[in-house]
Parts: sequence; C-alpha cells; structure tokens
Amino acid sequence: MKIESDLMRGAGPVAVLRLLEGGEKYGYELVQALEKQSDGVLAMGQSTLYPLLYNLEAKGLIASRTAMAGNGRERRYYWLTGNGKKKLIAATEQWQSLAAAMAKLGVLGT
Amino acid sequence: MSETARQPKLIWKTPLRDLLRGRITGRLDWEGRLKRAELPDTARELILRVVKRTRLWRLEKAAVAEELIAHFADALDAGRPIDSVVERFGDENAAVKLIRRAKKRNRPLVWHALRFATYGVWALLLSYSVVFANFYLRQPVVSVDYLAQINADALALPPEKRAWPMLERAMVNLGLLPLYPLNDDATEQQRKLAKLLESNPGDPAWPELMRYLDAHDAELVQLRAAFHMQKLGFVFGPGGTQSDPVLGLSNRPASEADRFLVRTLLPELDCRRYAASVVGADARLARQRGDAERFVRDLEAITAFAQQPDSPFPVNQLANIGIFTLAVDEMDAMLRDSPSLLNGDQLLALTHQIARYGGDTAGSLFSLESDRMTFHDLIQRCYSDDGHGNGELTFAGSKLLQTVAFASSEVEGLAVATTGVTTLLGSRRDVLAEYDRLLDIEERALDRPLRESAKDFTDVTNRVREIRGSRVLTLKYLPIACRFQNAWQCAANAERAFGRRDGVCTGAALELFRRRNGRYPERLDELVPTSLPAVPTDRISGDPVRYRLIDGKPVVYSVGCDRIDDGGRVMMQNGDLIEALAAEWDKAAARKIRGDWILFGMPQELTP
Repeated sequence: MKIESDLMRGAGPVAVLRLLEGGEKYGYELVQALEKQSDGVLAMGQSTLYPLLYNLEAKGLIASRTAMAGNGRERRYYWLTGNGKKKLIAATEQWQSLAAAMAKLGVLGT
Repeated sequence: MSETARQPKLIWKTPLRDLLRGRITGRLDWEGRLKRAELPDTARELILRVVKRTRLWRLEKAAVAEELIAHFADALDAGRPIDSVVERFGDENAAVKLIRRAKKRNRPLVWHALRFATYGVWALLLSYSVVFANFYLRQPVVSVDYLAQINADALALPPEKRAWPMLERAMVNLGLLPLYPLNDDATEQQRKLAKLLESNPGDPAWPELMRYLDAHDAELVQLRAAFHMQKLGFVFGPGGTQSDPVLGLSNRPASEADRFLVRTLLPELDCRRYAASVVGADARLARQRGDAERFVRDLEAITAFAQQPDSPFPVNQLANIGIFTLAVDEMDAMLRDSPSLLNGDQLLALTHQIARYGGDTAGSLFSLESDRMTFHDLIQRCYSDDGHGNGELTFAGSKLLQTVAFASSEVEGLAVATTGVTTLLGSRRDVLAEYDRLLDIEERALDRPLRESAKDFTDVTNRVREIRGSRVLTLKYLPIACRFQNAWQCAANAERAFGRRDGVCTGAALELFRRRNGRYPERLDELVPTSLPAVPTDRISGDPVRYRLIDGKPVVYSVGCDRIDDGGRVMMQNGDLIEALAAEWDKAAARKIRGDWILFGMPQELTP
C-alpha cells in the first residue's frame, strides 16, 4: 500500500528513530527493517531515506560514524542521541493519542 | 594503475584535515571510488548523476556517494536484482533536492551565520537601493502660495491708500533711491548720505546736513504724510513692488523661485530706515532752531511710521522698533538738552502718542506667524507630499536646505550627508510637529513679559541646541537644525523699546511737574495720577522703576540684569557709557554686566 507523502513525512522520521532505538544501523539495514517490520507500508527508497537521515542528524536527534564492515566495505552507521530518545518518547505519545482518537472515530479497527 | 603512480593525484583529492594529520586518504576522489565499485553501470550512472547534481562541497559529495555505493552494493549482495534496486531508489530529482537541502543543514554554524549575514547584507543593499532611488526620484510639491498670503493685505489696498508710492517719490528726490544702484559711485554716495543723516549739532558735517534738509523741505512734507498713512502697501515677490525700476532691482529677472519666502527680497526695509533717519535728522534741526511745531510734527510722524503695518516678517518688526527708538531718542535728547522747547500741550500730546506705542508684551509688536509660514513654505519645497500632510525629504530639498541653512557648518555638512543616511531622516509630519511645538512655546512666551517667559525661550534654545548637537536628531529634524531662529532677540528688543518708552514718558511727566512746581519730585509716586497713570514697571525686576536726581538732573532707570540698584549708574564699555548695556534678561549676562539700565536721563559712570 502506497502512503501519502504528507503522512509519510510525519511517520518516516519516527519510524527511523524507533528502529535506531534498538541500536546503530546503516542505510540499507534501515531500509530492510522498515520494509520488513511495516509489511512494506513504510518502505522507502534511498531518495527518501538519506535526506531523512541527514535532516535528523542536522537536528541532533541521531549521530553517525563511518566504520569498516566485515566485507571490507565502508558503511555509515547511525544511532540515537539523547535528544533523539526524548523526541522519540514525545512522538510516540503523540502517535498513541492520534491512534486512540482515530480508533474512537472508527478510522482504526478496535 | 599502481598505488605509487596514483599518489600525487590522491594528494589533491585528500581533505586538508587528513593531510594535516599526515594521511593521504584520497577521500575526495568519490568519482574514482565509484568507478572502482563493483556496481552495474545503471547504478553507477545513477549515483554519478545524483551526487554531481547536488552541487555540494567535495567532502559532502564524497560522503553521499560512499553511502549510496554501499547501499547499492548491500542490496546487490542481498540478491536484489539491479533493476528493482534502481527502481526503489525513488525520484531522482527529489533525491538531488532533498539531499542537498539536508546536507546543507548539517554544515557548521559559522557557515550558516555567514550565509545569513550575506543574505542580510544583500537585503540591506537592496532595501537601501530602493530608499536611495526613492530619495532621488521623489519630488517636492509646492501647493500653498504663502507669498500670496503675505501680500493679501497690500493687494487689497487701493493704490491711493498705499504709503509706498509717496515714500518712494520722496526717497528718489532725496537721493536715497535706488537702493541697489548699478554703479559703485552711487552706492558710495548713498553711504555718505546715510552717514550724514547721523550728524548732530556741533558735528563737522552738521552744516551740510542742514543745507541738505533745507533743500528737501518738500520731500520732508511728503515723508511725514506717507508716515501717517494707514499701511505701506508694498507687494513682495516677483511681479510685485520690487519690479519698480526705481528700486534698481529691474536688472535682476524675477523668477518663480523668488516666491520662496526664505528668499523674499525686502528692499523697502532699508528704504524705511533711511526715511525715518531723514525725519529724525529734521527733528534735531527743528530742536536746534527752536521750532517746536516742526519737532512735534517730525516725532509724531516717526512714531506713527513705527506702527505702520509693513510686512509680518519679524525683521520688519525689528526695523519698526528701531524707528520707534529713533523717536524716543530724539524726545529724550529734547527733554535733557532743550526742556523748554515744547509747551505743556505739545509735550503732553507727544508723550501720549509715544505712550500708545505697543503694549506690555512683545506679542503686541511681534507675530511669529510669518516665521511659521516661511518654515512651512521651506518644508513644501523640500519634502514630498502624500496628500495627507506627510512626506519625505527629497534630494532636491536637501540641496535647497544647504543653500538656506544659517546654522553651523556642521549642520550644513550634515545636509550633504543626507544622501547617505536617508533612513534616519524624519518625515514631513515629524519635522512640522516639532517646529510648530517649539514655535507655539515661543508665541505664548511673547505674550508675557520677558522676565517671566525667559525660561520658555531658554527651553526652546536648549531643545534646538540638543537637535543641533545630536547627529541623529539633526538628521531627524534637519530643517529645524538648519533654519530655526529663536525669537528671544525679538522679545528682548521689544522689552528695551518698552523700557525706553516708559522712561521717556516718565521724563516728560517729570518735566511737566518741574514746570508746575519749580522742582523735581522726591519720588515718582508724586507724578501719579496727575502726570502718570502709574509708576512704570521695571521690565527686568518687575518692581517700579527707580528714580533719582544726579547733579540736579532726573535719572529714571531699571536695576539692570544684575538686579542690583547701582544708583542710576552704568558700566563703561570701550570708553563709552552705554545706557542699555544692562538691558539683558539671560543669567549669563547678569554674571558679567553690572550697573543699571538708564531709561531716561544722563548716564553716570559706575565706579568700582
């Protein structure tokens, strides 16, 4: 299912923050995890993911480092910062409130 | 290519920070790394296009390229078909735009600060260019003909009721017109004549003056008649009376710029002064010859002339005070030197006429309305008009201000600077509001004796000084800084004239008392109410004027600016005894001037 870009703009960063809560990840890993864990709903290409990561980094919510992977390939790993954790908690609460409200309206199944 | 051969190239493609650490990383060579990456051409070309189009810094491009290469390689390693990976990449144009925007957000704070500063400078330059262009392009709008308002009274007067034509004819025959002759000899001739008119009996030039006056008896009759007429009827400005060839101004082409009140010519001013001097000289001659009737005729004519409406310009009112003072001086001299010249009736009639001059405050002689009109005229010639009473200074206006400024050279210099600091200039409404506020204070002050209103004048002076002393305020109120004239001198001159008027009238009352009683009174109270309605007030202290007999002669005086009674004695200045030296109202004068202000009688030297 294709998600409207306005919705994706709000959900994408929270989803990425949530995935990074479990530990540092590199770009392709994030794409895989998003696709798998959201059943493809939140799947995003590089054209969306990397600008999103750079923006989160500019806001200080995530940080990155370059490291050599086992296959000898350089990868950039991203992880959640203290600010990112706070942001994730706040965003999670907002999404929960939103989901509850949508459920009451019958938009989401109970 | 071997690693050794690539070394020089790698140096150029290594960030400075790596080189400084002694590492030749070649990190900036992202295109080389892309070529070496084991990626299908489709992926390689896509990465090349996207990264190149981001137009980021080289190191940023390298980081993005590295990440995309790794991403494609990971996808291929995971067994994804290349077409699917390229398809999942997303919109290429959006990727370029978003990556560029996001990466720029990651740049150092200094870069952001410089970027905003650059935008700020451009915005400032742009807005300044707009203001600057506006300053140069806007034009003043002259919508009110103030000169017509000044001339309204004179133009409403039928020619036969105007004093000017008669005055003019007499002055031509007296050789005192034209005032602005074309050749220097004529100017010199006039200068000699003006000097001659100041002669007194006993002076070497006195006989010549006598001959001159005797030869112009008819002109004197004309002058006296003109002095008694109700109004002068001089029409100012181009096409007005100044165009009369007799004035000698006809060689100067009248232009529309002459309707600018600041530049209005006042050729009648000197003419009136000279005319009064001629009649004043005739009064001296009449006194010397014992011709009481002629003396009375001359002084009555001069006193009437001093009250004849001419123009509302303060400079004309100041000239009128000068003319009145001429009559008072002649009366004073007569009472001191020829006290028996006039009979009681003549003395009483003349005294009454002199006593009727002006009132108790400078406001009875001066109106600042023409000052206001002149300033408003200046403003309409300097500022644009938005149709609602507001506007901005124009370039043409700033140039005009430079030509008419009579404040310090600093202010003139600032007028030049207006071209560079237009945003600091006050609006037309701001300037007029401040000017009107200051002038209102002065107008109200003129309606009170100066001893009570001096503080108001000082407040206005201090405010104008503050405006001239502050660059910001000077620019805000530039026309005020350039043109404001304090009315203090108008008030002080009126006070001096009133003091002399009261002194001479008291002197006449003393003479009448002496004739009746064979002696002068002990106190001025004795003159009231027979000869005086009340003892005049000292214009400086507010108390009754002082009186005493010195060497048997009466002296009426004010205590002067130091407010100390020095017994009717004055300070010597440059070898002369100046009766009115102490006729000052400001505190600074009181600190350096001692002695009294003699209102009537012979001054005596104040001994330390």
